Amino acid sequence: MQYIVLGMTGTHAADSVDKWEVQLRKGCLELAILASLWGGRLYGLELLRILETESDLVITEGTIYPLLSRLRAEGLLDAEWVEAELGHPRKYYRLTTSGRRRAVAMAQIWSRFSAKLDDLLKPLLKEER
Amino acid sequence: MTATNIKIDAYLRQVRRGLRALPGAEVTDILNELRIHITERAQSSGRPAEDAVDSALESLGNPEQIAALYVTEDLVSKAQSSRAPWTILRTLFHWSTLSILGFGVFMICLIGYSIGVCFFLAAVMKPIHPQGVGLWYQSAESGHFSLHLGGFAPHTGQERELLGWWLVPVGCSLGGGTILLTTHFALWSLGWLRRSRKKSLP
Repeated sequence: MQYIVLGMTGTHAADSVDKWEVQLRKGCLELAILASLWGGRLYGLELLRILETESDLVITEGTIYPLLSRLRAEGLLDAEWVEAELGHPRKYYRLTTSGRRRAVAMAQIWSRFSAKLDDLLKPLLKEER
Repeated sequence: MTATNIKIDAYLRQVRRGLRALPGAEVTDILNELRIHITERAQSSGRPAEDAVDSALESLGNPEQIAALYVTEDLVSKAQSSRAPWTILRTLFHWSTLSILGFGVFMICLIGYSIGVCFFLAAVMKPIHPQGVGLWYQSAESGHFSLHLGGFAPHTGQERELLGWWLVPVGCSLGGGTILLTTHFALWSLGWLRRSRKKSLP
């Protein structure tokens, strides 16, 4: 009986860690998109590839497009269709001035926040090793 | 090639069905972008055409959820950036067609805005019809009483007007207050809707 109870607790804990991780990734996605566009315009698939390789923010690909559309509605991004020489026209996104401002502000908050949290987490991570 | 096109079309039809709340030009734009994403991703995978399209569609995710996310993001950001009661009500109306909770929020806000407008109207009409407009109090023999805001009804002489010219500042501030409160409630509810939509996605 006790085993079952312990077993259930274990599953729930793992479950909630997974959920927490999903929420964390979603929370960071907006910043990661703005940061990816810092260097210049990108189209959706290009942006996804950067996010996959650079940020470890594995996501359902389809969620990125509604998010881009909201960032555009909020005036943080501009979008334009560009005819490609070969193949299909592509919808490129670029940061607007207020998008650049927002990206910098978010990056500063993130860096302050993560530096402090890292200090707090050091003992925990040593323990693990 | 035809088989893959049929699959892509079927997927996009499902997305389109979920996007009814958005303007036509926006829908075309969204569907074009998704179609190009699917084709390009499939072509670059180096797999046989049909497999490649299947995998592109799978990694793109559930079409209904993508459409719902578009609608929520779009409507919520429009309502939040304009804050105009009319835009907010239109957004809530769309939400009310999607869920019972949305319908409840829409009704509460509709009533809230209507009450706000009534206060304002009373304040504006008071100088025009000083004798007819007011906050009227009437007590009946049975111990019941009635209180009503407005005017133009034939008066029996038993009613008392409670506010007099105070109706103008009181009406304006209560009207403004009710409208602001309703707007806050609407935006808070829409924020909640956006968060809950995001949570439901994998």
